[in-house]
Amino acid sequence: MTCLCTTTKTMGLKMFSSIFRKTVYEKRWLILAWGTGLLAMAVLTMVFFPFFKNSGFEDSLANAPEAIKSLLGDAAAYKTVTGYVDQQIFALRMPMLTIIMTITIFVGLSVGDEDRGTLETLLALPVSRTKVFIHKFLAGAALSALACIGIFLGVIVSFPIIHGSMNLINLGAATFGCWLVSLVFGAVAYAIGTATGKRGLTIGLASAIAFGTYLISSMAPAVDKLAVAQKFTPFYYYNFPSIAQHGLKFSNLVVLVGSIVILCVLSLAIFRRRDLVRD
Amino acid sequence: MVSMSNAAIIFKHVSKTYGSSRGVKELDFEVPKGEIFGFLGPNGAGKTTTIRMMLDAIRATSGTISILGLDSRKDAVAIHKRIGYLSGDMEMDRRLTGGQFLEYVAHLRGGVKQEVMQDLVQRLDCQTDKKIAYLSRGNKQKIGLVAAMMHKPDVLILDEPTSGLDPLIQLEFQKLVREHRAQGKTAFISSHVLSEVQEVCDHVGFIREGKLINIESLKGMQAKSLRKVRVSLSKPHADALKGVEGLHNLHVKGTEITCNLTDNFNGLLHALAKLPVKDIVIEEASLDDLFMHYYQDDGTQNV
Repeated sequence: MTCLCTTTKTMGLKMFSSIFRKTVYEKRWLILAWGTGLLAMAVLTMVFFPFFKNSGFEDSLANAPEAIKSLLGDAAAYKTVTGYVDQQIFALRMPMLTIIMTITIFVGLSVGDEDRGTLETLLALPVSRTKVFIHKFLAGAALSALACIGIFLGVIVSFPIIHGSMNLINLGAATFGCWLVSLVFGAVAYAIGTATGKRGLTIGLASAIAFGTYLISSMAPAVDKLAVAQKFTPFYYYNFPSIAQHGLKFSNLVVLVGSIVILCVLSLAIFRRRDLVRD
Repeated sequence: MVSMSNAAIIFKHVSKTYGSSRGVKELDFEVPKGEIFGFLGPNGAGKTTTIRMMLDAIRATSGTISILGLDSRKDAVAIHKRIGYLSGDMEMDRRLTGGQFLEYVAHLRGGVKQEVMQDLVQRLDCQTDKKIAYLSRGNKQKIGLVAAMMHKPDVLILDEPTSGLDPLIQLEFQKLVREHRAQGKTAFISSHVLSEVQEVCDHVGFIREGKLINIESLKGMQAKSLRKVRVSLSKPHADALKGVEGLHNLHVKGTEITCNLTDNFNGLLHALAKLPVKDIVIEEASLDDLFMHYYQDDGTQNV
């Protein structure tokens, strides 16, 4: 590629050498904001660990209904940093935030770009729809991963504050799991967006699927009839058993990655054939 | 598919329907290599639909489009390497500066020579250091023009290309298109404003309600004997010029008569001789008048 630096004053930068790089570059501030927010949230959550550890919280929870217990998790786990991180960081709070973030990113990369007309401008250049689809998906995945690193760092930063620590490999694995389950929902949004080009449908359906599957998964321990249904939710393959305590389970990993691949393959097949939407 | 034709662009029975709403119907025409082709029609006539099919943004319901001997669907990427595209409402990444956008396009295209791009940037007086979000429509359009021409494409596909450009830049644009043609290259320019294309086009195709009405050479159109006639009478005459051969769009308002005349002057002159004529003006119709002539409300073709 010839140098265009004198025209564009971006000497030495390779940010615009591919769709992937340009997409990441374009959304860098958004991801910095999300990553910082997740880091702050992780620190804020962790500083309450000493309170939970010494509060006798597990005794209070002993007589609570099963449905409440299933939402709050294993009370005994609150006694250790690992258990606390599992229950307070990775069981509910962070996945909800990272799922919302990842859906938002992928809605922007699919129907957002199509709505604005920038997708059509891009596809008038010598790049195939497959290439655009893959680059944007990888960029979305990378952006989501970069923000999730905020959780990992937030927990580590809080160790000196709470005078405790945990296995960093397991912490990394739990962060990875949190990112991966978010990516499944991101892939759902991306699949709907690229297959239909309809913004309202994409946001509505992806959000409904995330919320619905979360409800099924969280209520399943207390409602027998949901036992089978929960196996069809990504959450079932995310943190059971606890990644922070036991590490990643390979079969769960396969299901989550497989779901993402299937969603991408199906939506790509439609995206390659359909008309681009233009208002 | 490799075509042996000398045509740069070939439409073969191309139709596009959007459910019950209008698209385009049975487009069947060719644009020879080395020609600047104007594609004219009112808003909603099907111009942008046609161009979006050429670019493979949407797919024809039936028929095929061939560009430089390649199929617009199967060989879209290969075609896009050799074409430059700009539309009047083209959307670019708003968070990038004009320069960053051009750099991005150049990278995706590959093989763009910096000096060619620099030259275009200078000729069109582009603002490359400002974010696209803050550029005026005209300045965005100039960035789009550089992006469309930086790789010296074989075919330019331009959809309302000069909307928003100031007159000086429009002249520069026309110069660029003529230089493009001088190199034996082709351009397909759509517009609803004849003046946008009449300075550069060789042939003009008229589209209305999705149907291609006619293709005319620009010289042929200008040579057509369509004249605008204005007659002032000294006293009103209700049936003035009624039934005169070759007259169209006859309007009589008191002592003032306006009409269009094709072909036959004798009929008009004979009729005028019987009227109390105070003043008469006969002038060559502008392309806009010719355009209106094609698109009169009843949809009939007059020329």
